Amino acid sequence: MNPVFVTLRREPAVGVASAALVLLFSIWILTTPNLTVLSFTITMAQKVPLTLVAAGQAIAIMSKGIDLSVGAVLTMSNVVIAAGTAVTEHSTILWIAAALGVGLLAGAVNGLCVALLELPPLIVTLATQSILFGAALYILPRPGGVVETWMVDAPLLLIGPVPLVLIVMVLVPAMLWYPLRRGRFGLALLSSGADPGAAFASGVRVKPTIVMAYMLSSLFSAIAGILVTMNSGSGDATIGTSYTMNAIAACVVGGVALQGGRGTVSGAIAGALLISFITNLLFSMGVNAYWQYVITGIILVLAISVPLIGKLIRRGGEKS
Amino acid sequence: MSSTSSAPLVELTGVSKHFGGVQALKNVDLSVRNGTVIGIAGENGAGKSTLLKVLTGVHTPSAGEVRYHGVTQRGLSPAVAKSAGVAHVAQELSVFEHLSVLDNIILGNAPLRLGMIDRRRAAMMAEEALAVVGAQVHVDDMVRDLGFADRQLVEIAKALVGDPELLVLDEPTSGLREGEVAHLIELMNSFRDRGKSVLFITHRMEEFFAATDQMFIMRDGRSVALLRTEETSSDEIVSLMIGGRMASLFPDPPPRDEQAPRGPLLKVTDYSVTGTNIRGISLHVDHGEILGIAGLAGNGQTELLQGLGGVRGSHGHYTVDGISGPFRTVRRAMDAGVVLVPEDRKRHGLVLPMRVSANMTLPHLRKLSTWGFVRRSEEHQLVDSMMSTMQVRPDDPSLPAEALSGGNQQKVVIGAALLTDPAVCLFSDPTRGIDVRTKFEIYSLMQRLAARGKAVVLVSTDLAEITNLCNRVLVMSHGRIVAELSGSDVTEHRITQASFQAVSQ
Repeated sequence: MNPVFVTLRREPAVGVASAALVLLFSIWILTTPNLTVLSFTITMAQKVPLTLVAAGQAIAIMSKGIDLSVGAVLTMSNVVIAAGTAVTEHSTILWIAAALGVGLLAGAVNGLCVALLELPPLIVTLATQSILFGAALYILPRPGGVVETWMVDAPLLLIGPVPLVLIVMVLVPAMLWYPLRRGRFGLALLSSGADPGAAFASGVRVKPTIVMAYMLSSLFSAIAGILVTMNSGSGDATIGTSYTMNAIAACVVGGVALQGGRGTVSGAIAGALLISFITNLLFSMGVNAYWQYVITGIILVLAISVPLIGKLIRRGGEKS
Repeated sequence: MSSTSSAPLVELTGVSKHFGGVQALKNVDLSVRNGTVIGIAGENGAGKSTLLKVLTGVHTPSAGEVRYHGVTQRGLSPAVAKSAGVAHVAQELSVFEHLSVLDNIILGNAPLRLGMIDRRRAAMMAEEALAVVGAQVHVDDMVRDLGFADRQLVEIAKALVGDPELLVLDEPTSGLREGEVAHLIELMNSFRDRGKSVLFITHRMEEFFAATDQMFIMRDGRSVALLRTEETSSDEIVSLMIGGRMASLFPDPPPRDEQAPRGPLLKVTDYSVTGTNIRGISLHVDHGEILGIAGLAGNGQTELLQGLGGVRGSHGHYTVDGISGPFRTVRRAMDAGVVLVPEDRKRHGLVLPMRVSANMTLPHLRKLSTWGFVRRSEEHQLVDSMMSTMQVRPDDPSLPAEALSGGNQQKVVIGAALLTDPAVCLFSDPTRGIDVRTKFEIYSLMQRLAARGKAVVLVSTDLAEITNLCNRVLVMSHGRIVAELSGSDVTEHRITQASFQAVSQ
């Protein structure tokens, strides 16, 4: 069977999220005044970081965990690049590598604490988040730092008719995640997240799988931090605070079950874009910015309810 | 790994295993050579599953050695066992619901191509294994859509991938239908004929005699005997299992209590259960009666009890001792004196991490508390008294429920139900996976309940149970009652006949 069909059959939520996304995207295109290639590109550039953070978060959640430190890793990435470039002026590539290194290290620490020490993921990643935010504020107490011009220009680039940022949004998961997903790691991750005991009994190396899951989560967030740095052109130790919760919301909307063991990265990406477009639409409809929080919350509840309603209809009269 | 042709396939010497204070295995020796099928028999708690788990690396032994082909295994894990050709199917199925049949089967064994799973080769491997096992499922089906029997077959198919030398099966037939059991036994025989071996646990005597060359009997964590199947009898096996003779598998019913109430107690007419195909049910149960509900598994028997007990919604005319149902919640059913003992004791009967005493008093807490505080001394008394009535072993109410063997767990579930002092006791497959002695105790309990004037309803697919315990039997098919048998008509033959009858409407 075609892999796309296999995925849709396994996780119908992805289909729902994608369909909703296409719908919203069309509405947005049609109703936004003064839509130019440039404004489209800039808008999309703002959305891509969340999609990557959500992708990474999905991987952590699928391992039957959660990663509250994703926003902090993104922030550290941003701060390391901006503050570092301020010091050395031209070796941005070096600082990008350093930012990715910090991300991988944070992920490794998260993963080892969860897998080897068997500490609850919520607590471990909460602690990591705290440490990283503190470190970020120490490095850059006030927004500032330097970002090289080529970085700031990058989000506006087009490859042919397609904005570079969209290519990045597709390529990063395609290169980092999908080979792993199609390999043994994919099954190892889903089975470890569904039932670690049964996975172990089936010969899956559960602990290394979990460590890898958290490292991937942080890696995606670190990459997202690079993109955020390109978008904002400066360093800000508070820039990542909203990303964690939004990424979790994106995962839920995209069909990643919080109890672990199921879900898709494409669903999480669709969920991130969906939430993002809803915010855009509300804004262009003139809704007060504060109401956006309320609306996003309502949408989150609706997103979780859809599969439950389906289950209720199927089950008929049975209770619990 | 070097292999000497004289060394047995797998060998356990002096193996002991303890979990905290519980000694599950005591100095067990077992040697498995090529080309043999060994059945492992024993009561619940005898250590059979634990033995298999030590053999396949799920548990590490506290003492003793595990040898594969004469080589002592250190750091044995399920992955190592699998690659050494020892495949394990656990009693609690470890299938992954939200993965496809294909994913479940190749997990841990996936063929790779350029670092990614070769789906075509994987599908071929899986289809082959499914065919050998006789499963009628498609590799892309989602396991969550499969029934228990199919899941069990998928699990066995998974064990066959990688061409194992030793198949270790823990109750592989518990959910299977007759044809599937026969097919599995054929499979085990062909395995043996090809020079490989099978170790399997079952509680059904017929399967031992149909499939095995040897019988390994365990009791209380020790190995008691290794017999050639053709040289033994089921009586000998049972007496070795329980360490004595049992005059009969079924107790004689006690005399009815003179003071006990009589007459009709529960009555339903035109009764249906929501979300099922159960319609137009009319039945009644009297004081002191044990009513059996039989028929092929999956024809609504369990769901009917769930409706009567308030687990599922239902409609129709329903009275219990003057109180009218149907009951929308279990609490209301309990208050009316109707209590259901569910068939899935681990998931629906007990809170496994909670202690036995807490599990037992859970349905009864409101009556045990004043102003929200539980009256502890009263609770202790009730629990102690119920534990001795039910003969729960070990006799320690502070143990977590998960530490008890299956039979004793079932006793706790029944004890909890009885603490609510019900008038009507609904039992749904109460002796599934339970050893001979505990079954006897549960049968005896049901008879004592009836003698005291309670109404007992028993759903079971074990025809021996039904015919020995019940005065009257209803046979269900496709959600309707197709036959009512009483007195001398209550025979295995008549029940089976009626079970296959199609619903005329």
